[in-house]
Amino acid sequence: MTEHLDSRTDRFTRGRVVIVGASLAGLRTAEALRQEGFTGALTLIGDEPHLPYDRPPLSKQVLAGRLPVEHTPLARLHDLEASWRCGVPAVGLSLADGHVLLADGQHVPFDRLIIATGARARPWLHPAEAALDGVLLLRTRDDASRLRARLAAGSPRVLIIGGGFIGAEVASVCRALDLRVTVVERGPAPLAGALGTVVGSIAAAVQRDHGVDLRCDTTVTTLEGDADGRLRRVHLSDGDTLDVDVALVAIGPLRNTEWLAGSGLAADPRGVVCDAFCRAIDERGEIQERVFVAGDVARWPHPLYPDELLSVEHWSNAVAQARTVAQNLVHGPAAYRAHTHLPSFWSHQFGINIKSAGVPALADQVLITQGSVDDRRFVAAYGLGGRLIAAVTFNQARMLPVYQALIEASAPLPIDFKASDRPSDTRPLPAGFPAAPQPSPTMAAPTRSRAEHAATSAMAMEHAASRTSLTSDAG
Amino acid sequence: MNDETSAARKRRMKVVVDLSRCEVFAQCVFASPTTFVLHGDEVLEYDPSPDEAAHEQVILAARACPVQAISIGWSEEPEDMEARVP
Repeated sequence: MTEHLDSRTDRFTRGRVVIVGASLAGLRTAEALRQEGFTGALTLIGDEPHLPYDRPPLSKQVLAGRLPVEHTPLARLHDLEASWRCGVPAVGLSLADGHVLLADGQHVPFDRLIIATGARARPWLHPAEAALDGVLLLRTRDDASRLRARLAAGSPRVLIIGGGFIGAEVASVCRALDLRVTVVERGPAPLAGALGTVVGSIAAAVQRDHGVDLRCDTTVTTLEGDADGRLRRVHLSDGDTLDVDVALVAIGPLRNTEWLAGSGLAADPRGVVCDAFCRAIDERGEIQERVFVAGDVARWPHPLYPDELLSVEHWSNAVAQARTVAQNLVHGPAAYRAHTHLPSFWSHQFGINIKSAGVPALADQVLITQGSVDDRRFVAAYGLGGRLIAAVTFNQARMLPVYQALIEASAPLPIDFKASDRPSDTRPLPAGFPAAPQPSPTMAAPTRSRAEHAATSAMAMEHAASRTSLTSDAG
Repeated sequence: MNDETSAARKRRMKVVVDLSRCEVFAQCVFASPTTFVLHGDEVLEYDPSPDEAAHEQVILAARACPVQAISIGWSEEPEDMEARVP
């Protein structure tokens, strides 16, 4: 990092930095700030009473009982020397006065601010039904403990509302625990919002092979409780009625942006708009130089997907964006680096490691390029306008980096690829994204706000400018 | 970093695997079988808070990872966090 020393000035390495959000993105940003040489005062604000913990195991080995939830706090990778305000949510932001307002009435002053408040589970739409004993969400470690306790007690009949990744992973755990589980998915296939119906229908077959009662194109009409307010029964749009003990509501995320209402920032339930350097953009479309955004709450422009603002709930993006934000905050505009991380995620379900690179949900075509769907071991390549934009692997993790490189090079699709395990039929199919998608990784607004326009229009220029600083990127 | 850091505090080894980077070569499973376990051909699970008896093996596992997806850090005890809240 010595090459940065010359460009470093006290102006950027000192002062008061406040990070709102004390999960993966907030913690890793704090660590990266210190690593990059920030010597000022650092404060982390989090609404949960826990130290930062890792969420991916919650819907997998924690729920299955293979990992105690007490083991999930995140590894500390760098000394922080920070003040923590945990268990008290931020409820307001004044950019003019430079302070964050906490729920207990305290003001936390800052010179520069990092917004990393993430997302929460979208609650069931009917409050009275949501309040029934047995209706649960899964996002936090407390949620996981509650759901784990239910699954481990007796032999509950489980309903999962929503066939996305959380729903599928929990269904997988239920089957591993030999519990009866019904998944109700309003779209044509599970995982279809993220992976399309072609790959989603493979995921559907996997679920049914494992004994999941999967109901697609179906919705829950009523959750019915007994006289004591305990969940008893569910009524479905297919006319069926099931007796259930536990219902997991897994219908997607809501970004935690309510605390930014009235701040002037371009923030709504889809996230906080920022530019390629992760600087927040306000409602007038002006860049706020003192405010950065990282993790699930960020909506940022990506050079590979030029007409979109991406917002993802990916572990790897939180880690990568933390580095981008810390780099830009500590080294200042002369060394700004664009956040060009290629979105990627993994999911473990039914003994299969599903991995993804790029943004499948933007594709118009998909084809199986390697392996065998019947063996549940394959690579699916996703294209848009004849270019590769994403790839998904089922138990083929080692193939994904090849595709990552091709995606970053916008390689043509079909790929001219002499793989020895190429299936006989490699014709592209329509990717099959529902017309009205489930909460998807991207949100293309029909009419663009000033902030959205500002974020994407400035991107090409800033990306070009950022290339000069890429040589100092140590990864 | 000054003496306010956790150097003087009790630290426990913590481990974190970047499962986006992981390509499931499973070298960690051979190096430290009590911490890293396969559930299915390619489903790697690990204990982020390995027992002290496994610490040496976990360090070897991190070194053995062909894609360097394993990071070793430390835990901060909850009382440390509370002590820092002004």
